[in-house]
Amino acid sequence: MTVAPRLCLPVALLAACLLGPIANAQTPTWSENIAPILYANCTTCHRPGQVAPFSLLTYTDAFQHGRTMAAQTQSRTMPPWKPETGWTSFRDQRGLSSDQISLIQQWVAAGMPQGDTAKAPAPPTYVDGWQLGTPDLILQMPKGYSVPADGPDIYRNFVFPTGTTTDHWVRAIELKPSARALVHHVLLFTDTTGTARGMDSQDGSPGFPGFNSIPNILLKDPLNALSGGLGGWVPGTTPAFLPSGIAYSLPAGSDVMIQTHFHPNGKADVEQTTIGIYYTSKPPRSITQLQAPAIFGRQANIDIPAGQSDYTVRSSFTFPVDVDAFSVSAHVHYLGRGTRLTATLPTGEVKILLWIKDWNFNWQDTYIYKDLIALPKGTRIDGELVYDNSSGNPYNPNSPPKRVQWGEQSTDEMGSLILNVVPHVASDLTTLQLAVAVYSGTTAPAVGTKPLLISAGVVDGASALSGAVSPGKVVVLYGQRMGPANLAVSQPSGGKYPSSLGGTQVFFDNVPAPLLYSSTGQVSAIVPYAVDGKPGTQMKVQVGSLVSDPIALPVTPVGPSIFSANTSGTGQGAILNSDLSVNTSANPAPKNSIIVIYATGEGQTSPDGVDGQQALTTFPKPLQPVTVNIGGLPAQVLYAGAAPSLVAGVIQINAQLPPGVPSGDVPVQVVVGTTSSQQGITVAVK
Amino acid sequence: MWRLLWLLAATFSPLPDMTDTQGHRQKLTQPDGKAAVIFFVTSDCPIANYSAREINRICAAYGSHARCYLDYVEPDLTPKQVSTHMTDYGHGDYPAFIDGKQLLVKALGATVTPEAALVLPDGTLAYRGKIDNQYASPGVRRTQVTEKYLRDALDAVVAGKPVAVPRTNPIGCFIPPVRAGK
Repeated sequence: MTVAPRLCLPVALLAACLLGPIANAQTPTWSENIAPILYANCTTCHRPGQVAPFSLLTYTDAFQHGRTMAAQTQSRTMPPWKPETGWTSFRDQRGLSSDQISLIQQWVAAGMPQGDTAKAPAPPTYVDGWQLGTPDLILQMPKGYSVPADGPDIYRNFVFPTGTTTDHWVRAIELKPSARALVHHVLLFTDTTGTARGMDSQDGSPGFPGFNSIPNILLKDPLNALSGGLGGWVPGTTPAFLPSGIAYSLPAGSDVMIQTHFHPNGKADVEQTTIGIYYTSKPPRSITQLQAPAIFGRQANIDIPAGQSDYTVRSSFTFPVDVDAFSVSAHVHYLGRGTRLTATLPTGEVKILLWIKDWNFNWQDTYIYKDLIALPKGTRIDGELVYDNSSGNPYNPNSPPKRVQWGEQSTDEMGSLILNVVPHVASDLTTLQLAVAVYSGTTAPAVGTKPLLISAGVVDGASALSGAVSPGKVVVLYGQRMGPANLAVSQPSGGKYPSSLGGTQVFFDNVPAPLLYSSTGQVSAIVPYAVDGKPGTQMKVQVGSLVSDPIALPVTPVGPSIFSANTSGTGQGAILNSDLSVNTSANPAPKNSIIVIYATGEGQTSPDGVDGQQALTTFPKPLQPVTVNIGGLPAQVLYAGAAPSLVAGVIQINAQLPPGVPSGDVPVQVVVGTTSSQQGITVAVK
Repeated sequence: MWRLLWLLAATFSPLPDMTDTQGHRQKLTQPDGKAAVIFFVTSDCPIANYSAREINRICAAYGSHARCYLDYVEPDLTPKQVSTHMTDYGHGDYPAFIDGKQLLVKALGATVTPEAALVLPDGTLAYRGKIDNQYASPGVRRTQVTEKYLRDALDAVVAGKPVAVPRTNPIGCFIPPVRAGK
């Protein structure tokens, strides 16, 4: 198949321009490789009559949209899944593996061949009616709501009287929007007070407006508000029953109140929602909803100065009884940049319950955990919200930016992390509800003048990635008020790096960390070896007498990462050639020569790592075995251990380029035990 | 002399005549002194669809200075589908082409939809790129539009001034390759 010459397009398609179509027996085809990926991951939404703007059911569909597919999957914009992966497992988790993403890239670069249609899978069949059988209660909007063709996103609340005379418990909800292309997510609540019904249609259209009307309505019946509403709905979710023994509460005679998010798409339409509700018997354990900060963030006195890009709000709560968590969500408006909810268990283990680093208010899921998460009595929950009120935030409703506070208007802000739990022992419910109620009535302490960091600002010093820490790892902290105005760089004294520099100290569970440099906005530290064997750690920054709020971090025994030449965490590695000259593409390593790689995150060593110690007379080696892959081929490792005169936590690895390695920029990976270093580091080979 | 002719040839991109969905032959460069604005679209690109009403507003606002055309880069569309689509999404009364062979795409170097090309009567491509900065990236629609590149370019052309930003990187759905047999 000839490929018409055309403009070079960025990223993956560069290969097609430079190399032409790849014609070999292993070229991916739509029939064998692409259709299965699309059917398993995409066509629930990408089919006629659903929220996605185009279908991907046929080969022609895939061809017409193939280049867009390649770009959107490469950037992981599609399939949409906002939470960081790898910390807790959720139901219905969407995402493609690196291999699947790579296959799509290769398919597009090869000209998008159809392949042998006899080998194509049959397209999936989708059930049109109620997916969970006939609902016990069906509610419908009596009149349609007109959604305009364009303009800003609309949040509109609708009321559905139930007319029930007894309490019910709900194990599933299925939503059928009529304007499927426009409904982006729906949150469901119950109103026992009739307030929502009183506001309905006041402006002439069904429902009533506003992001923030809901909290005020819910607060009129705090006990009902504590029970956590009826969950959320997003397109593409498989309707499913809640875990056994767990059910939402639908009090007798209450109204169902939904908040619908409409995303105009250029064509006006009318929304008339139908809701199917499935009952179950009264569950043994009742739901309590914890919001941190409480009342959709009202208790955090959100007040974001114009132009501030990292305004942070934090709130913590400790469970007074054993609980099991079954779902989590985050609610923030336009200015939200990141949200994180962690649990520090009494054992020190840190669980990341939800972490969204680049908040997008268009995708507000309620995430149900695959299995209940046990949080014992004494577990401390930390909720962290970060807002960006600068002109750099494309969602900023104000241009130029304006001061934004918590409030009712769509241009005000709000925010909370929401965790739905049941007490492990049913009779603990009252104790739990009381503690949550007291917490909800308390103002969250402001950060004030304390040193300030956000979780995403604690990064691996070599890879620049945030996540877990390991003993001896070089980390960089980004924040405010963490050190002196002028950068202070530490010098070793008596063969040791100091753990106090320019007034700054960094503690991991009260153990001081050696410091490499400190300044008000950026500090570099080395995670103490004392965290070895612990399941989590609490990190704090202290400047003088002011101590930051703790940041809970998971701990892994190893977490190797290779230093990069330009400190970005990817690209040319910080590598020396065998003659100790710096490896660059202008000064590549000859074939079969030995290269010297610098890395961190190798974990505990033998002899035991000593915090801050220069390798002058002892040269500890990592406990776990170190292997190196260059160009995907195993390289012989001649040395893996302390780098002479460098600080404990930095490892030097001498490896020989294996035969068969190509010329040019070749990928390098260091594997400690079974954990590999970050993707994207290369060595220049002659 | 040859150099001058070569330079002229480089700037003069003769646009092919196109037959619109009503069956009329359209010459994009006409001696009426008006510029031509060609919008590359598809009927199912969410970004192109959301831009439709702004395209209509621009064409209405600059009607005395520019002629608008829609170029649907979808070989399978029928004229009737184009007509329905233009009504549904609020497009104006401008001619539309079904450009299955991508003649205009190639002539103007378009790569995504929506993309706008502003061609002067002498054939100069005065502006090519996004209509405005409504989208920060394919998945991110700004709350406020703060840059209106095409309108700025049209204003410059109307005032007889050079276009300050003649090219921008458009954001949208990639135009697929021409399908064999189309």
